[in-house]
Amino acid sequence: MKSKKLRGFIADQKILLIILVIGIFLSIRSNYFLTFENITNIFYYISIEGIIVIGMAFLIILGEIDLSVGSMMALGTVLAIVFQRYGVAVGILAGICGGAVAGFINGILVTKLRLTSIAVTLGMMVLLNGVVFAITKAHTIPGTNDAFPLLAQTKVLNIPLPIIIYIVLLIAFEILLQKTFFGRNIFAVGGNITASKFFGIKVDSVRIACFTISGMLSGFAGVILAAKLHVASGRIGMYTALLVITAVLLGGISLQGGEGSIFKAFQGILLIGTLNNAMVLMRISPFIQEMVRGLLLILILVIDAINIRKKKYI
Amino acid sequence: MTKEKILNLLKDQTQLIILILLALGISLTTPEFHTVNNFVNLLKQVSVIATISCGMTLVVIGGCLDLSVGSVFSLLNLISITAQQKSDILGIALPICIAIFIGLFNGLIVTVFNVNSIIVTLGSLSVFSGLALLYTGGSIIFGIPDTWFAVIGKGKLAGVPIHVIIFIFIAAFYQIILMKTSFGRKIFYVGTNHESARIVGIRSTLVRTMTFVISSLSVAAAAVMFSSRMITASPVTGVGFEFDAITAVVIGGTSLQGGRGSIIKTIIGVLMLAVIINVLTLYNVPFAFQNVAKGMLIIVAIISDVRSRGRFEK
Repeated sequence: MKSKKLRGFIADQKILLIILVIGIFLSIRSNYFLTFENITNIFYYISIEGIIVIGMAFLIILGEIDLSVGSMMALGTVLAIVFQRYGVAVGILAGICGGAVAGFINGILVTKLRLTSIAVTLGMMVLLNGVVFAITKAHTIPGTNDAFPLLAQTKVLNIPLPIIIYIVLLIAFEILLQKTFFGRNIFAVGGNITASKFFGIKVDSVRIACFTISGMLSGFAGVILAAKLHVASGRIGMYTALLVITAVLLGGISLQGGEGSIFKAFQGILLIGTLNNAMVLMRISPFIQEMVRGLLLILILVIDAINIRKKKYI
Repeated sequence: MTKEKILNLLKDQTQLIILILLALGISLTTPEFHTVNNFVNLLKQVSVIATISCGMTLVVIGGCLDLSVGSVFSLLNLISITAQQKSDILGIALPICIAIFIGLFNGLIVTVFNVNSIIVTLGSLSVFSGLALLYTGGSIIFGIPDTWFAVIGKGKLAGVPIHVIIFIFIAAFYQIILMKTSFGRKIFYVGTNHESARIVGIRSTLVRTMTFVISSLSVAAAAVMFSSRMITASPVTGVGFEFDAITAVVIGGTSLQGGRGSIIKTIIGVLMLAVIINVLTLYNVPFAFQNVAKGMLIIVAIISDVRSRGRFEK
């Protein structure tokens, strides 16, 4: 009995085990891997995409998907850079609001006009990409407010601020998902949308709220990216959707919806971050890194599909 | 009775009417527009993207979407030029052979594991673009000019460029496949409801895989046309082609939900896109706004498609 439980627990932590194996392998190969600096680096790298992963996890649990996260992040970056001259807070708010509005429009189009989320967000992705190019006039625009980059550069107890913000958001949204009515409604809608409607859940509001949250978080990720780079350009965010969806699926959240947690999604992005770090430390060409990311997504999709099929037969 | 028929015809051909109105509008403002010469010019500009869109149409009617066409185009462009350095026939044959494998790769993963095609091809987009970048290390390569290979892109037959003739031939061939063969009819069935198509004995995995192979083959044809015209190749030539192709297919009136559409509609879509961009350029709208326009077109087309579908179901 006890060994069964233990085995079940280990089976649930597959991703952490894989990360551990990669970690041990790397610490043998390279002296640099296990330093405090490198570990902080990994977390710093994943903190921006990680914030978007939180919103995507909400949507995938709900049974929807958002391909426009990269463009919403780029929009957040551009708005933050444009508005930071009026003050740091204005810049941050502008980025978050821009993302939220885009996410809200996604939600309205999906729920009120009953369109599929994948098609709507594909259109939104192209549209926002154009908006960002129009604002930047296809140039790279630099920031002017010297206080703004502090958002990314400040360190508390030697840990960069973006990491702390990320961890706070992780905990906050995990509580929102697991401990509140709103969170439980998300699981219900993702599990069976028709049944949820009969139970009196306001299905449309839940879905619009999740799209807005995804937009808001993408916008916020854009703000932090803007603080980190202190420039904005239309080239940002081209592969974000790919990376973020891979992370969520890698964490073991099924595209079918109705199950998952923020912690699982976090494991997914942590694995991607570790792999990325590994490839950089082993001096693998960035072109191969791009291929590996694509192959990883296809592989994890196939595994997810096989798992769904298994469940159906049981 | 006849009045109803005419009304129905008008409703069916909304896109064509919009195209004619647009063309009329421009020809009133610019007298050069409505010449035969300009029409051939228009076809010359769009033949590459139109060939890709025609292949994409079959995939979309089958209920899938192929996001990898852009990076496959870049890869095949590179392969065509490197092969052309050895011999002209190889420059045509090799990309076509490799395209078959690429199509099988995408198609088999989508159909055998029954995974969402958009996410799979988002992954393979990254795989093939990584491969293309790796192939030349990111640099541009040159073919051998002034061989008969260049005739495809630069030659003319009775005043019409040869690549335009090839495109028209391919488009006509696809339209015949779709409308006159049992395979074409199967694509429509599978796109409408692939589960019931399977139950009545259509091998839906085979049909869908074939649509992916046809899509890759069209990309190969487009890549050969492009290589022959330019005699150079770069790993980023196809970036963004997937969105142009999808936009053309969708605004032409082929439904993203599968089961409806035609090659003629897609060609109308390609021309509409070209004319709209022509108009934007004529009125000095900055290049950056073109993507805004494309994104809006996709969303408007999706909305109107769902609307008309609703009317149809009533």
